[in-house]
Amino acid sequence: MITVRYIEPDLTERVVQVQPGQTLMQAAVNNRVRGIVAECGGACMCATCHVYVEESHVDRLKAVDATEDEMLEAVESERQDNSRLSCQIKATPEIDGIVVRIAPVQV
Amino acid sequence: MEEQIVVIGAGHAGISLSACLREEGYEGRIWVIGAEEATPYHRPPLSKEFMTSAQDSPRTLRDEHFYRDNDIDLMLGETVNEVDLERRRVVVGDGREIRFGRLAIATGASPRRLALAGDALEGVCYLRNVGDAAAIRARLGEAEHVVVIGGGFLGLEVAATLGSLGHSVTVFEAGRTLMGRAVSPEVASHFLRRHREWGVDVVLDDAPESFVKRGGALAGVTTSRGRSISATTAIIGVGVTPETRLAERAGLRCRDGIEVDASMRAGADWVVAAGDCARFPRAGGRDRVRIESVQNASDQARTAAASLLGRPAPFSAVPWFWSSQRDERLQIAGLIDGPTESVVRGHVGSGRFSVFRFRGDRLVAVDSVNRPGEHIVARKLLRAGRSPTREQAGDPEFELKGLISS
Repeated sequence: MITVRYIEPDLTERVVQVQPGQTLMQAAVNNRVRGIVAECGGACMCATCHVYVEESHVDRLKAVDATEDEMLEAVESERQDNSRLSCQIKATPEIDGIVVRIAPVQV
Repeated sequence: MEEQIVVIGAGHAGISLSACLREEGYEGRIWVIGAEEATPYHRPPLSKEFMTSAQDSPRTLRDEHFYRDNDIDLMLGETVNEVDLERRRVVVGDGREIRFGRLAIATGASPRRLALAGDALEGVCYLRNVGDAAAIRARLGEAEHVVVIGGGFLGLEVAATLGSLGHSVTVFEAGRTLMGRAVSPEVASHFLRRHREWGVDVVLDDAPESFVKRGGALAGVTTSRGRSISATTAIIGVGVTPETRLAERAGLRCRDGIEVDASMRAGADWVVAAGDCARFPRAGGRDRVRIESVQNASDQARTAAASLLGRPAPFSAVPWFWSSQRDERLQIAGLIDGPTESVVRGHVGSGRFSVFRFRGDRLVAVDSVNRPGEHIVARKLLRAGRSPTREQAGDPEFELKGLISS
C-alpha cells in the first residue's frame, strides 16, 4: 500500500493507504476525503479534483499532458507550479508518503 | 422504529445520494437496492475502455470498503416489485418488505426499443449495462461488420471503439445530422468528417426498416431507402426511456419522468427522485426537463439528499456533458432548448475549437472539441450568467476568464 497524506480545504489532515495503481482522486473518493468532487470519474473531463502537490514530490510524477495543462489553466483556485488533477496521479511506490493539499474551490 | 432511508437504484445517482446523506451527517440506516449484481460502476466507459479491455468488471464508483466504512447496505441483484407510500415500505423480489421513513428513487432509464420486427433476434444488441457491454464484446470475432443504429453519443462512441478494434462499422442515423440537436452544426459536421476518416460508413437520413433473419439470428438490415447490409451484429442506440413504472404504480405524477419540484421532491418532502428518471423544473426554463448525464445524476443526488434531510434548496447546477470518440474529446456546457446562433472560436479545420451558442445576446451553451480549458471557462461563464459579446467569443486572443469576477 502507498501512503498518501491529504490536506483537506479546512486543513484537516487525512492519511490514506492507497492500493498501487489507484489514482489519488479515486482513493480520496473512496475514503471520504473532503473537497474532491470528481464528477467525471477520472476521464479528465471535469477538472474538479485539483490538488497542490508537496514540492519534494512534484518531480516524481508523470509530467502534465496537454489536456490536463489546459484544464489547469482554467481552474478556479489559482494554478501554481505544483497544481495537478489528482485523477492523473497514480499511486506508485515512487510517491509513497506524498502530501497533497486539496484546492479550496473546484471549478 | 429505527430511522431508515431506502434508495432505489444503484447507479450514479443512487450511489451519490447515499454518499451525500452520510456527508451531510445522516446517521440512520441506508439501504440501496440495485437490480444489477455488479458492484456499482461507472457507465461511460462501457462504450469505450471497457469494450477494448479484457476486464471482467468495469471501474467501480466506489471500492467495496466504502459501503462498509459508511454503513451503507447494498442490496444488489434485487428488484423492487412495489413501492407502498401509504405504509412506507418497498417489497423486493423475494417478497421481503423493507420499511422506510424517507425514500429516494433513482431508477435511471432503459434503452428505447426499436419498433421493428426481429428486435429480439440473436445479434440485435442494446447497450446500457455491463452485461450488455460484455455480451457485445464476447460475440464479436475478428474484423466483423457491425451495424450501429443511431448516430447519437452512444452510437458514435461504440462505432469509434469498434472501428479501433478492427471491425468495419456502418452507422445509420435517421436524422440529417449526427448527435441531433444536442450539438451545434459545426460540431456535428466535424464528427461526421472524423468518423469517415476513420473508415466508419456513416449513413444519414436513412433508417433500418427490417432485420434480415437466418435461423433465429440476425443476418442483415434493410433500410427505408432500399439499402441492404449484411451483418450478424447490430447495436442499437436510439435513446432511452425513464424507468418510472414503480413510481407510477405508487401514485407519483409521471410524464416522461418522475415529476419533482425544484428541490427534487416528488409529492411529499420525504420522497425524492434524481438522475435520468427525474423530470424537474429548470431554473429559468419554460417547462420541466429530464437530463441524461453523469453530472446531472450526481448534482441532483446532492440536492435530493439535502431535501431528505430537511434542507431543501433549488437545484441550479449548469448542465454539462462529455463524449470521447477515439482521441476526440467533446465537452458541452449548457442545455439547448431552441434555435441558437453559432460563433466559432478557433478553426474547425484545426480540430481544436469551441462553438459558442447564442440566443440573441445571451450565451446559452458552448460545445468544445479538444478544447478542455475553454469548456471549463464556459461552465463558469454560464454559472455566473455572463455572456461575452459575439466578437469576444470569436476572438481567441480575448481572455474570457476575465469576464468572470471572482
